[in-house]
Amino acid sequence: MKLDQAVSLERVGDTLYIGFNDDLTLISFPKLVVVEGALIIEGNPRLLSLAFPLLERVGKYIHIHDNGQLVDVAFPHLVSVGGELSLQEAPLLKSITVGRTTAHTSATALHVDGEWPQVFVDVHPNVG
Amino acid sequence: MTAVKPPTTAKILQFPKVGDVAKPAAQGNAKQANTGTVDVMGPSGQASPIAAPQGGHNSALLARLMAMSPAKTRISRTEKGNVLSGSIEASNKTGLAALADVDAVDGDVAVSEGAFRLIDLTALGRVRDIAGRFTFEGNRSA
Repeated sequence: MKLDQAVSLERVGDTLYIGFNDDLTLISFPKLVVVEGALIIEGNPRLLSLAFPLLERVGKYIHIHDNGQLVDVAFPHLVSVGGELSLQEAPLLKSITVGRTTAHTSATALHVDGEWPQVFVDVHPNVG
Repeated sequence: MTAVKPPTTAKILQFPKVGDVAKPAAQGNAKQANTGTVDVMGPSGQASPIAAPQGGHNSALLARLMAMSPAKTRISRTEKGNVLSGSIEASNKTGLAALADVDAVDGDVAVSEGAFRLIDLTALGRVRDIAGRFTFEGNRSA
């Protein structure tokens, strides 16, 4: 089961919530730029991949919790998160990409919780 | 790229806050000049009140939207395109069909409780803006 049909969606005015879908393997929002509320992805036991290639801003927080098969997390254009970016309970996670060098990312915190054998974090926080 | 050894306990990196630099979301289709509305009743509903331009493509579109919607909603033709007023909750086979020609929703969109196996989510393909929540919860394909 894939959630990749919202191919034109650019903005969600409140929270985007994707949770507790037993067979969901892919989440893709190829044109989504703004989520005014929170972005919550939790309890999807077969989820392998997230694709938010154009997402720039999340008004509240990002929680990606308890997705046991998740391997990669990438928000390459993310520049602003109102609250924290939290990743928990993804034991197979291998890489996290947030932002890019040409557009630094702001967030109140990056919270990574887990016992992962190998994780590469590619984050470009605003330090200036 | 910075390689980071995985922590065994929670790890918090504090970043300084900066101003919001994000650009506003793209607005609707400015080419849409006509406006009109249609109140859509459910399949079991009686006569559906329609207040929309008569004749041609507009009426055909609005009539199709009216026929597909499972609950009372209103579709307006605005500068943002076809805007559905109200919220949509997909819980049966026709739950999202009303979105097939919709550019924006000014309420919530929800697909929940196993509805995925019955619903053709391609109806989401044209929607550019959801003003409320978008929820996809508790679904399974079999």
